[in-house]
Amino acid sequence: MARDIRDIKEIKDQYKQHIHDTAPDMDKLWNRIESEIDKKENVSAQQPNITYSRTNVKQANVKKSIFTAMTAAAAAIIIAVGAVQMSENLRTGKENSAADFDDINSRTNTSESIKIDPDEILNYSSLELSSTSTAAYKEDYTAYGDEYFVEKNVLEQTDCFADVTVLKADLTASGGNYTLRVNELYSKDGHDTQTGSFTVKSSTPYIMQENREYFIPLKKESGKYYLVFENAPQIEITLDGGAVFQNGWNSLDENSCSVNKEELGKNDFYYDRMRYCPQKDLTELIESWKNT
Amino acid sequence: MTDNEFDFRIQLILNKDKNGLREIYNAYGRLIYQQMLSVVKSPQDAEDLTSDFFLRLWETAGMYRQGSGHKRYLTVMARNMAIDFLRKRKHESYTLDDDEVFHEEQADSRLTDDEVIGGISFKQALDTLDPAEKEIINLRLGFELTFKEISKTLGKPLGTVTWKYRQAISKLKHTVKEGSIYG
Repeated sequence: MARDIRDIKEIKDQYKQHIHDTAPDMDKLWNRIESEIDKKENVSAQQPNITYSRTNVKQANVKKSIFTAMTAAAAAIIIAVGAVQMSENLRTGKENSAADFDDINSRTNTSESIKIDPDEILNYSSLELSSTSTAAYKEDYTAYGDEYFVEKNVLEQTDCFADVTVLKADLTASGGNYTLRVNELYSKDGHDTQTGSFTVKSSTPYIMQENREYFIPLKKESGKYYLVFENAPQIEITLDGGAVFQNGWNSLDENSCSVNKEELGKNDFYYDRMRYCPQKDLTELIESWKNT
Repeated sequence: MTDNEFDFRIQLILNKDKNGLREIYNAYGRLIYQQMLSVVKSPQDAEDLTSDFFLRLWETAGMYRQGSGHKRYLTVMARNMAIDFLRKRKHESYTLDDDEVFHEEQADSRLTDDEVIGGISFKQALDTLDPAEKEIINLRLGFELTFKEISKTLGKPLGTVTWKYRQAISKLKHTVKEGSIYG
């Protein structure tokens, strides 16, 4: 035993020496990192503040609209390089919107909180989700856009969040076209009661499933909406008020556990880091966003 | 670096003080590089990823939850970045395959005396390890994570981690027996 411990200590010392000897020029690498930081800081200092001038925005207390369920799982989404363009058929549908939203609240506003074992691993197929007939994504899809999901960066780029239901997922060899019904739009100063449908194009493997509900961050450029981050599953909302999300969403991580998806395609990168929360209060996420 | 010391550096970063990041870099830069290297294998790619890693830490320092275990936070982030890199850029996958899951009967049979190589350098000995073993060695001997922390970081069963660690140590002991350590 003593010999084993001594051996391991010697190996450890040797390993640390090896790390030191085989490292790149650390001073040079630091200079590179520092230079990149300076560049980024200068850019962000020069960026003007974005103002939000949305019509038909209702000043609503976001806390009132607790979605406890957010998410998305993975699988799905769509949005891609492409861009989500709100089509002209976006129409006002206050009654529908209110009904949908009330429905979500009724699913999620339960007085008793459901605690979950953080070490538990659930199967995605065991979650309460609407039935869907969407085919699996095309395996030759290539993801574009930002490579690493960073919540802070995503929130900074987000102009609004949209709670959507996928009406149609039309998948082709070059990507997917999705028709989404907007259940709710959230701006920084409230939530928009406009609803309607719009189309989204995407070439990423993260397909949104028909008949499923998602909560997606969007950015607006030149009158068009784009998915803020394409290379990860979007937040999916389950029928019972839960949320499935990839673990880059730190704001959603509390009281969550891992989700396992039984069948994976070769591009289904994110399914080894999906989380599920049985009740998800979006307040913290929305507040984080509003404070960016 | 302790969790408290790390928390202090994070606060410096949040105040846009690059000294906070520099001190974390000094403490963990080489280890992060090794972790990247064990996954992507290319020194240049590992160097690029190490640079990206610290840029990301600078940008996301506010997301770190104090007291949550900074070593695991760093290693999980590094591992995810390396795997994403492989998956996106090279269309390669990196996993501890199912057939590598620990089985009791494998424990004593994987390494035999026939595999002992004598009189080689430590680097050559490390090269005899597979990528998963290298990563576990780096997390255990470099970052000094517990097996439980390594298990959570890699998302693999504790038994698999301890088995692969023992296997790696055994290989290193055998391969350098007449070499740099004992020679």
